[in-house]
Amino acid sequence: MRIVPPLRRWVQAASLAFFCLLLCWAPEGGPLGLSAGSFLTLDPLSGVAVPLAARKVIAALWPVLLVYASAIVLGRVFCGWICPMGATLDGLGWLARVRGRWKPTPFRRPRLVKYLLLAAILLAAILGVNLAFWASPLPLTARLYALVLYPLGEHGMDKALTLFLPLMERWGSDALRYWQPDAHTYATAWVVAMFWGICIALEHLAPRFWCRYICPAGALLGLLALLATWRRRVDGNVCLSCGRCAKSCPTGICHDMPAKTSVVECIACRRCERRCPQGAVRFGLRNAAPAMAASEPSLPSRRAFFGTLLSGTILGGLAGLATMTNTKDAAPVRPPGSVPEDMFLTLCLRCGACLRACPTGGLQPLWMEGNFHAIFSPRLDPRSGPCRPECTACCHVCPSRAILPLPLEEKRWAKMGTAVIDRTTCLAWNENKRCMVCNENCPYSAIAINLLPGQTVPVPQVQAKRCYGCGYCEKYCPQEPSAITVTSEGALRLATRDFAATAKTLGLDLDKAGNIAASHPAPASIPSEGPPPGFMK
Amino acid sequence: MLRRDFLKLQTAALGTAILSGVPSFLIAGSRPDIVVAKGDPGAATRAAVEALGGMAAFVRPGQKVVIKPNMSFAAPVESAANTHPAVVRELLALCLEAGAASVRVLDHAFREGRQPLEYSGILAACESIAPGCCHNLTRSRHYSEFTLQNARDMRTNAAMIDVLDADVLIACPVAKSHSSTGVSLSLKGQMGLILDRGCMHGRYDLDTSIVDLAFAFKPSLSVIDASRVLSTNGPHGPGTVLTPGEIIASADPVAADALAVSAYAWYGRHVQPRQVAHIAQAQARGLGRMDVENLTVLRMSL
Repeated sequence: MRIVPPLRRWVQAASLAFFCLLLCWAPEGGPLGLSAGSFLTLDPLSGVAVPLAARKVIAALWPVLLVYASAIVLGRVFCGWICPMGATLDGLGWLARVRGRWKPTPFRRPRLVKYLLLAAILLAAILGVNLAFWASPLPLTARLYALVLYPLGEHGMDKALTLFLPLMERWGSDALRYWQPDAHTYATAWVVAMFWGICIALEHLAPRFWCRYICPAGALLGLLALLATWRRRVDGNVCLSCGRCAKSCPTGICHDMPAKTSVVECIACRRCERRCPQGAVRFGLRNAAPAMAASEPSLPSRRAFFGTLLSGTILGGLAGLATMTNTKDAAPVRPPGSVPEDMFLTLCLRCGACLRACPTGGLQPLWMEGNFHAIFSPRLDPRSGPCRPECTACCHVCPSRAILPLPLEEKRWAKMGTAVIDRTTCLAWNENKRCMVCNENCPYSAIAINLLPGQTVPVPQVQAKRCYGCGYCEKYCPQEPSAITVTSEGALRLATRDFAATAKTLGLDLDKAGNIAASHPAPASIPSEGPPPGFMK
Repeated sequence: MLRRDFLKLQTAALGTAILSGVPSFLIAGSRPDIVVAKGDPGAATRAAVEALGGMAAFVRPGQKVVIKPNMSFAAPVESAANTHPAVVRELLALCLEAGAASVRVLDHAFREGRQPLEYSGILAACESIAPGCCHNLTRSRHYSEFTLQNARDMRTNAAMIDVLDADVLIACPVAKSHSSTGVSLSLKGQMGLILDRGCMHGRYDLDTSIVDLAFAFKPSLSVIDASRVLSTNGPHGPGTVLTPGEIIASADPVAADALAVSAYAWYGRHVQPRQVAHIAQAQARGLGRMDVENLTVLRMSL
């Protein structure tokens, strides 16, 4: 038995750790100018489906070319060595796997499922619909860590601090006693957790079940791997067909014909090479292959190919249909600097980097509230947390630039929406209470307090041109549900970074905007008669 | 407290009745009710507290002290949305000099996290004297359910455990206007000591519950920072900032608030303390006195 794990395990662990660290650093930004989204740009499926659906080259996604190049030269090394989803399944799979008994399940035909999915996603992309997020491995993994595991850790810490508070008081440990680490909660976390629970349970049937049968990104890299120059070779003169490689193979491909290699399925883990008692298995250049290296026909048969194409077209078409509606729904309140809605839905990878980056936890994934097509995309939920005027965290993590990387001077003008007061529930409008919590909290001086004819108390009114849509009012409204809510009405959605110029042209008055330091007083909205706001006669 | 109030009333009454025109604090042993010190915020704070008998009159050695400034907003000193850091630092130093066992500078800020503490400059000011004393408590674990005595409307809420444990409470608000209560001073500022403020706007009458809370957490000493006054668009601003450069201190929070109301122009107009509903109610319910004209006010300029 090997005590020291092989190099591949170290690389996988390092890759996963780096992936998670970048997510942890999301609010502040990682080292070397890397952001939480940097790793996500490597996603092989999004890298082709998103530009196809958006019908443009997305420069920010260039690193995915490295992954394609690696597949063309080295086969699916990304799957075996780099992919954090693969590493997670390898790592958590032991929960479900029967130890020491890696069933070399044949399940040959279901392997076609991943091609079917790939075809469906690419065809949908050609039709202009981005479905990649349903099955892209890196966004799926990012959602697990950002929306489920990291918050679980935070909440665990919070609970522990609460539990030990009396002890800390006795010990006089002030630093721990007053420590208030963030503890965010995300909508859809249970969906993500369930999905991953199933993926891990499937490890019981076969190791890397997801990668073998479902992952369309793996299918894409597998197709590229047909060109690979470096691949598994077996020296037929030495091979005894003992089957040890078959038992060790995590993708179960050495089972039928140990001497042959299916390059589209092989993830280049090189486990078979280590296990071979004869030294018959070698990874090396294709041309140097000895006689028996001829690959088995690794592409699907013609019938399977056309079947895949047909079902893919149907699936893609259905998906396109699902996004069509007769009425134009109001868009959700998107992060500041989001591109126009249609383009946003096409570009957004649903990776959750922006959700993780938002320091207030205000950015939340959509579930069924919006269009089917908008699932997992980010929106501002002010009750969870408002948008800080001086923060640009979400702008700088988006891997596909669905949220533009705005500097603060531009972001300050990127109006997200407009607050609307429900006069039937507002304490001032409806119950004649002198509640001005929305006005108190507004960083933009956007809520005027006016004593209107027929009202006994001054009432809040939103000045749309000054309202950024940050949600401080909604967050702190004492009514439940909030009597003031942010809508996407009037949101500034541009495809380029000219937010300041455009906002000024539109006459928006946002320059108090999160910049109290500028300290230019807003004109006081005082009644000309009677006492100043809040005073009695 | 009661005895001191009583004595103060006596001296004030004596002062005004017998020696009209001569400030009663000039009579041996008596103290002014309110001190207004003009000058550098830190030095003026020290001078004002000294004139009230020094911090030793409020804090005995070994006591636990909580100082409640305004530090809700991620806004700089000039904005006047938060208490001046020099005022907080001076009070902290005075408490430590008086031998306090522990001093905490606490607020339940509008914003979560350390950010408002950092922007206000108060965190740095506190760290320079007593590291680890300044906190923005927004989590429920730092609060404990309690019953408000003498309450008329809000009878229960959750308050900071540190405040419930404290022997001495010092309010040091910045003087600023407030859109729903006129001003936010030492009475209104106590809303930063409890967990659920929303119910004071919704379920309860705001002014009544402010006085309820002030009865529960009546500060032993109120030091109002009027070095800058946010006279419009409070409590958040940005608004018109006046710069009287004064510090108002009193053992009676109602008197301190009343003086601040009458001393400065709010939205450019002069306002009577009785026009602030919670101050009027505080006097009516016997929490303190807002008839500043009948109290002894010591004005000093440094």
